[in-house]
Amino acid sequence: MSLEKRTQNSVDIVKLPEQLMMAGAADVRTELKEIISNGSGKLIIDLADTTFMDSSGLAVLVSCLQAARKKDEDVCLVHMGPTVSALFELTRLHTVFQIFDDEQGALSALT
Amino acid sequence: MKALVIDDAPDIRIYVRALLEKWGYETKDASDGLEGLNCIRESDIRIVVCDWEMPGMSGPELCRAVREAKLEHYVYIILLTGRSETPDLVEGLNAGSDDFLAKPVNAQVLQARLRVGERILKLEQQHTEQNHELRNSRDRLRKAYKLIQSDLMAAARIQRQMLPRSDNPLHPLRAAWLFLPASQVSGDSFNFFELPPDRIGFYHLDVSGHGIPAALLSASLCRALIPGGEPGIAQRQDFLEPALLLANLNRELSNPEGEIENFATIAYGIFDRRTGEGEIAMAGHPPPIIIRNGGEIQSLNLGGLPIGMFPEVAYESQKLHLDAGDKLILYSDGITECQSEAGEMFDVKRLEAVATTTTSQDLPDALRVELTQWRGSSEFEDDISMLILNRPLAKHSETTLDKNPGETP
Repeated sequence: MSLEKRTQNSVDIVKLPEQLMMAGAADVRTELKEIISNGSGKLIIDLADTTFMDSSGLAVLVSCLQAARKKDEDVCLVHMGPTVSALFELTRLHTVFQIFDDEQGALSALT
Repeated sequence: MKALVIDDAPDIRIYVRALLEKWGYETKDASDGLEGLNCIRESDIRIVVCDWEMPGMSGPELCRAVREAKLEHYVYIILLTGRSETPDLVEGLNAGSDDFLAKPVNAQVLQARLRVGERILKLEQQHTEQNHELRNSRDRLRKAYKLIQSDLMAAARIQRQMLPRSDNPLHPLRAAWLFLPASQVSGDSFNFFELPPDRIGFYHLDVSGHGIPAALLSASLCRALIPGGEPGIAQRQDFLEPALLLANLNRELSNPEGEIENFATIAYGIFDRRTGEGEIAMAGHPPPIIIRNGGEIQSLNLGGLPIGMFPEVAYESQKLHLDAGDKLILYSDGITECQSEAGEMFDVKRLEAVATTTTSQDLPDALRVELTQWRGSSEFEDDISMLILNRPLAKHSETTLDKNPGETP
């Protein structure tokens, strides 16, 4: 599988699939970790298409955050839908990640 | 390579043998079919040059006997014959001969036919060796698989021992539960215990992922959650303060350097068994449901970071109260996220519907039936578990409120 990715002002912007669950999580994790290690470490994850995420999906996002922060950079999440948003509130991960409504906000936070 | 010459005529025997010896074969001879057959059985003969017509056992009969003997190696048989009619050739081939050579024997043709035989034997040899290797690796795989299976079964046994056996420790509160691991070893676990003099503690946890790594984390969490179980993790008095217990557990299980692979969501709480007063803290676990005696549903939506992600995390706790007839339901997301064949999730609404129309003690079975129907199979993608605590009405009878099976979705 390949994620939709582009780079703007040295920030990597990646769109996640419709569902991020146990079955596909390992591949997404590998791909995102490569993007972080090959790029600047600044990453925007676009969740516009992502309608569902389970705990394995959360683990992927948190491991990205850890990898980016090891490079003293950060991960921002954008376009989070209501289901994923509820999961983030339940797990309090909205207090850990920077979350933005749109890409512009995330870009100015990272650059 | 060992070759055998069978002919009742001594001159042909000697001539053919001499040719074969010259071409480098190790040879033997026999003067009739039976003697030849014994020789083939006893020595490692790979090529046979055999006369068709002999007293006693004929060439084709010998071929048949060799093929029926199921020898370890293939034996390549060339029949010497003056016959060239089609029915004769068919008879010889059907009997199991590989080739023919016309009499009188022409040395060049014999040598060429022997080379064909050697090529075929070489292929057969390679084939046998490959088969042998395949069989060996298959046996090794089987052995390894068996070992993994037995380890998994041992792990599953240990894990089951960490689940409650009876709800006696809760008395007069009661408990019921459902446990359906997705693979043999589950990431879900739950239990309860006495906290003397008057209180009880309970937990329900779900480790992300499943299989062995999830089960290992689940097992170490369970050990840490037994009061006085693992020294160094939970201090005894933690058990009375749910938020503090989760913070301590999280500190112990987070590795600030390591990459997160597995983490756990937990609900941990305590109850005073006489008054039903309690307190609960949650680490990213699905919101427990309280169903009141009258059927009213309350959801305990108390967030918290999962255990094992970040080292320094504070948790909040919330007071709760179980009146007579109330029940508290803790469950893993394997239930609410259980997908039907069409991909629709079971959802908390369906769980609540089953829970409000079923008594605590009947709920595990009722939910198992509902989920199996929903899924269209008894194989689940994620671990399914549920712990129900309830405070019975007097004489342990729970009201069977609105018990109308038609309402069940």
